[in-house]
Amino acid sequence: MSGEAGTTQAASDRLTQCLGCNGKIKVAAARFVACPLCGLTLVGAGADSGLPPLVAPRGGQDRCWEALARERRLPDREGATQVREARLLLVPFWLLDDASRRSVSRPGVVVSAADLTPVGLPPLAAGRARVAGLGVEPASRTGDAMGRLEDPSALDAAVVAATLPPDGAAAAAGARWRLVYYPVWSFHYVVYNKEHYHVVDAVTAQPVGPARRVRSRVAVWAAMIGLLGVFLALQPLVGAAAAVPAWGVSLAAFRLTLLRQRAV
Amino acid sequence: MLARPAIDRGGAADRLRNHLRRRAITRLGLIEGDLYFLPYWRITGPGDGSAAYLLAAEVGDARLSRVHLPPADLKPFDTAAVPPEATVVPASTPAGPSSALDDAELIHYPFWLMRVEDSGRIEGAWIDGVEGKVIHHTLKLPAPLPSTRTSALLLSVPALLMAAAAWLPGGPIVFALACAGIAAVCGAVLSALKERHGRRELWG
Repeated sequence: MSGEAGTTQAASDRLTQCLGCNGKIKVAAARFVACPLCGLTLVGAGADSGLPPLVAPRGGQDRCWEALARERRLPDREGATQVREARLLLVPFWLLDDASRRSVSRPGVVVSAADLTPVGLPPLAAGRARVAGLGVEPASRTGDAMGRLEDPSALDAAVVAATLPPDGAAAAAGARWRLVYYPVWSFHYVVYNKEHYHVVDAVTAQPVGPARRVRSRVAVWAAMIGLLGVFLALQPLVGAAAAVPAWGVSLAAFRLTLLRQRAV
Repeated sequence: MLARPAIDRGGAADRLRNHLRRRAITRLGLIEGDLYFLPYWRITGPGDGSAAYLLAAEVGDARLSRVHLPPADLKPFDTAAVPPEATVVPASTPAGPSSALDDAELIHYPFWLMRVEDSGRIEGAWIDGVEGKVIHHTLKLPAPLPSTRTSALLLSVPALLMAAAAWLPGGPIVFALACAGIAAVCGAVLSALKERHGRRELWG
């Protein structure tokens, strides 16, 4: 009996490559498997050339929802806010694997392999290397940072199809683009009968991109500090006319701070 | 099968703009988009021939998984018929139980993924590429950033008060304290005003 089970198990195993450590491995044909060499969790479906690794989600649904509700100051009175759907998505990203420039301390190059803008996750690209709240680059820089799951088969997540090429950016000699999956929580919720779609990083539990609110208070106080500092510095020299350059500096500080916060 | 797209990027942008205008979302910046061919299983019912469409790949947006697609001009799938700038998403999920597979037909249906930029913030929308009627978006009516003119007017108040404080009698310490007081009071008032305004952006 055990011999028959062993034969069945061997038949369901497949020889493939772990794209995390590049090792040749033999794993079960399951949705998510653990690499027997490096321990990273691999996405087992749909890849013939190898199995891409995923960053282990650490933030649960409740923790991520609380972070989103806090960030957006969602009303907590009964019936005001309702979560319609929460999905854990594994979003594909291209990671430039360059052995000649590999560094634990230097940021790597990561671009999106799928565009999830309609659910609130703007893509990373050559001209947009950062989305506020999204920690994919530091979390995928090393294998240890990616984390490991004790039981990969228990992971209940939707794997988003990779549809975008690596942004047309050519990899240098010896470098190649490698696929990694990063977990985010996608929330569909209703506030006072208005629908919202926002995304929260499932590793750091930080609201991502458009989910982050503009902090007007920061912009106002940046403007006031600029106004006060420039006015006090120039007033002994030019008298009350110092209000003009001080006003200009405060205006620039106000606008730039607001625009910077909007462009997340 | 391949459903041929009937509207181009400009047409999709116009339809999206009109759709949003009807919802009082009028402050739209740059609209751009990409064409995708999403795979759908079409399962025809046994009785009246009504069809259900199930998305055959995971694209991260649950709204697209079950939609009623407008009728389209269907052609046998041919890579030469796919516009070069379009992205064909391969089918990766089965139609369901094996009994349903016999009746299921795979159709690649065109969808435009539009991106709208508003004051630096990017939001997106899916719009079908045949009639432009199936629209799924996250666009909200954001509290617009105050214009440069409004910002200049708001900030001119503390600047003028500080200029007036230069004529106050007293030494430099009194003058500095007066200016700091003006900055603190004006900062608190402006913060309160902006926070109230910002709630519209948070809750729509």
